[in-house]
Amino acid sequence: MKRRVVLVDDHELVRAGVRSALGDQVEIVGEACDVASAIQVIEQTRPDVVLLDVHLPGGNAPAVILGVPDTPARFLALSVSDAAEDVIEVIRAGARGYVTKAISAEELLAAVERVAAGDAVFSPRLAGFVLDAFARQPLPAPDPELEELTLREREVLRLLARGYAYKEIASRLSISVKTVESHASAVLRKLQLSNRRELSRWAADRRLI
Amino acid sequence: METSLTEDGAPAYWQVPRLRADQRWLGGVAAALASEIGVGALWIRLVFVLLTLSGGAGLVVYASAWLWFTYYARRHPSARYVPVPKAENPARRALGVVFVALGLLWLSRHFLPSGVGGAALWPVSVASFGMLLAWSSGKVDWSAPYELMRAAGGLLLVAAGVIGFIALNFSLSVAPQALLIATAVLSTVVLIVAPWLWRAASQVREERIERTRADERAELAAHLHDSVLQTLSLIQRNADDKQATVNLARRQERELREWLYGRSRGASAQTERSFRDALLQLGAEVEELHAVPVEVVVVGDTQLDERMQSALAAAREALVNAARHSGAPRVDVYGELSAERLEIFVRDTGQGFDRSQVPDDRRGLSDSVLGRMERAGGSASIVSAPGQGCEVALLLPLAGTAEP
Repeated sequence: MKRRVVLVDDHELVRAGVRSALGDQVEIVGEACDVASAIQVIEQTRPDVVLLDVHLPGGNAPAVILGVPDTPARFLALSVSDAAEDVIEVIRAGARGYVTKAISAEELLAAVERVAAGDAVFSPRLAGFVLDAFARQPLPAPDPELEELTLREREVLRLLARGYAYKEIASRLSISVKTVESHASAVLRKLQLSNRRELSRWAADRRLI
Repeated sequence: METSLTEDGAPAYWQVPRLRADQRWLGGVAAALASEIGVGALWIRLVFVLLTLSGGAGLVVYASAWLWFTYYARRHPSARYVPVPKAENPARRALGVVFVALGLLWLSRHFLPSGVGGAALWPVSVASFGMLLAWSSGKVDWSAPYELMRAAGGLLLVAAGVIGFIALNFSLSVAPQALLIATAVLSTVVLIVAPWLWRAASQVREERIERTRADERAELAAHLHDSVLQTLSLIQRNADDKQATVNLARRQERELREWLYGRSRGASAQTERSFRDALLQLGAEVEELHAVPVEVVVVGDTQLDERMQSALAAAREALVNAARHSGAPRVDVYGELSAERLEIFVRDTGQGFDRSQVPDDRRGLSDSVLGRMERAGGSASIVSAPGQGCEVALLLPLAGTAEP
C-alpha cells in the first residue's frame, strides 16, 4: 500500500520538486503553505506522513505539530535550514527525523518509509546537532538517564554523522538493523524529554514553552 | 576632600565615604560614616536618632549626606576608598563622636526652633527623608519585600510630611480643602502633560525601531547586491554550461545560508579561525573545485592551533582524493572535537580500492596523509576494499597541546 503523504512548504516550487522526486511511489493527499492550512489539511486527510518545512509563515513547524496533537501522522522535517536550534526545536516538538532538501529522491523515499514505520530518520547533520547538544556540560538533573546518551547510542550517532546508513552501522557494530533503529529512536525520545538547559533555552527563546 | 588619595598615592586622612549598601538600615549613610571614622555603626545611628528627636536636624543631615555621598560616588566612580581610622584606639574615636554629637545637639537646640521654626522644619525634614527612602530603592530588586516596604514607607513619610506642613502652617480645619485643591491642581497638570509625555515617549520608541529597521534593510540590500544579484547575473551568462551553473548556485546557496544563520559571520575577517569554520570552509572549497557534494558535520569547536592546521591539511588531501577518484555521489566529512582529542573522518561510498594494489599516485597520497598526521603527533587509518567505499580516519590527541 502506498504511503499517504501531505506536503507542507510555503514555496510552490519546492512542493513541485518534492512531488516529482517522490513520483508515484507515494500518494500525495494534500498540500499546505502555512501553519493554519497545514493543520486543516492534516486533520482532513489523515495522512501517514507529513513532510514539513521548518520555516513557515504564521509560526514555524513546531506550531503545526503541536496544532494537531491527536493525529496518527508522523512528521519528517525537510529543510534547507542549517540552524541547529531550529532543527532541534522541531524534533523536540515531535518530528521523527530531519533531512535536508539536498537529499536524493531514493533517500527521501526511504526516509518516508522509515518514518511511516515509526522509526527515526537521522541525516548526518541531525546526528551532529544532537551530539553537539548532548556534548554540552549536563546540569544536575532530576533524571540523569534522560540527560546523557549511552555509550552505544553515542557510537551509533557518531557513525550516522560519519555518513553510514543503518545497514552499514548494523554490520559494523555486529548488531541487527532493528537494534540500530531502536537506538536512534531512544535518542529522539531523550531529546524530546530531556530538560537540558540549552534545549529549554532554545525553546524558551522561541516562546515554545 | 576632592580626591580620595593624596599626591603620593596614600589614602587621604579624610575621604568622602562610600554608602554601605551591604550594611544599611536606611540609606547606608550611618554605616558609611562609621567605617570612615572607625567606630561601630550603632554609635552613628544613635547620634542621628538623637539629632532627629531634638528638632529634626538629624533627618536633614542624613538626607544631605546621602545626596553628597551618592553624587560623589557618581562623579568619581573609579576612586579607591581606603578609610584611615581617625584615632589610635576605638575608645577615643567613640569619644570624638560623642563630643561632636553633643555639639550638634547644642546647636540644634539653640538655633533651629527659634530660626526656621518647628512649623516648617519637621514636616519638611520628614518629607525629604521619605523622598530619600523612596528614591534610594531605585535600582534594586523589587521582588524583595524589604525593598517594597522601604519604598512604600518613603512615600508614606512624604505624604505625612506634606499633610503635616499644611496642618501646622494653616489651621487643621482647612486641611481637607487644601488637600482637595492640591489634588485638583495636580490632576489638571497630569491631564495636560500626560498625553503629551506619552506621545513623546512613543515617538522616541517608534523612531528607534524605524531606525533599526532601516539599518537592517540597508545591510540586507548591500549583502544581496554583493552576493545574490552578482551570482544571478553570472548564472545568466553561464546558462549553457550546466555544471558551472550548478556550482554557482550551490556556492551562492551556501554563502547565503551562512550569512542568514550567522554561523561564520565575521569569522573570515579574523586571523584566528575556529575549527568548525575551517572544516566547513574546507568542505566547501573541495566541493566547488571538484563538483562533488561534500556533507560536513562538526561537533565541538575551539580555536585552531598549528597541530590542528596539520590535521586539517591531511583531511583536505583525503577529501580531495575521495572527490577525485572514488566516483561517489557524495563525500561525508565528520569532525569531532573533545577535550582529549580531535577526530576527522572522511568517508565516501565510491569504488574503493585494495590497499595492496594501489596505483602509485594514490599510495603517495595516503602516505602523505599518514605522514602529516604523524608529524603532528597523531595517527591516521585508511579502511577500504574494492566496491566498499573508503574511509580515512584522522586522530590527533590533544592532551599534549601544552608541549611546545
